[in-house]
Amino acid sequence: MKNRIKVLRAEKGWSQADLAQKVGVSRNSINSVETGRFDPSLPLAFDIADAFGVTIEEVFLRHRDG
Amino acid sequence: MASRNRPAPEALKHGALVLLVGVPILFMTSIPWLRGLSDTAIYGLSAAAAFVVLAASVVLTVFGEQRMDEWHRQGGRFAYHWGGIAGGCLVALLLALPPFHDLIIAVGGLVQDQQAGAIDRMPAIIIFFFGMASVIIAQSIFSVLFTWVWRAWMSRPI
Repeated sequence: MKNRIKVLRAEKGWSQADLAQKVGVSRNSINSVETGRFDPSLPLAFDIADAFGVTIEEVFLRHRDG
Repeated sequence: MASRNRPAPEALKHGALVLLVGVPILFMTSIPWLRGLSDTAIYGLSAAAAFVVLAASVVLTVFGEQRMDEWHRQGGRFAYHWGGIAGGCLVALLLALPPFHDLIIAVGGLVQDQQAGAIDRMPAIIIFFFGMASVIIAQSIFSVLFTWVWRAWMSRPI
């Protein structure tokens, strides 16, 4: 699953640690999700989208969409 | 999700850690004294020590689970699954090596108040093997049971 976390973080000026703190998970989790090595659960995906103030579809994309 | 990083009560966590490390050390250092007790007392104290260590282990596991987010939990599942398989294979390999047999016999000599050479090698090694096998069999049985429990729980009507 692809995602736009890195782009959205850059727009907000957040580090991975900043996003991790806002979502309530470890920086390792954010790093693995951002690099596409780990697919988050739906609650975590929603929390990440909420942190950026966007919909989940604006953060995560299926491979065939990207 | 507030539950992801819920802090554990530190005193309880530290107490469990002290018990987890301290009780086995205390037990091992008490072996010379334990030898003087009756079999019933030895079995009773052994069971009590095992219970305390297991309870402390469960407490620490629960606290550890509470601290973990889903990334860490998935890592834990991966490590436990493959670590268990690797550990089981390692013991099977070690059981084929004479130096490991010597270690088993040496430990047996510690608790039996005999010279290591006075212990029959083959019965000691077979007993060790079945001791290990019993753990693997018990884990397999409980894995099946917990699979049924999990499926029933997740499939329950709303």
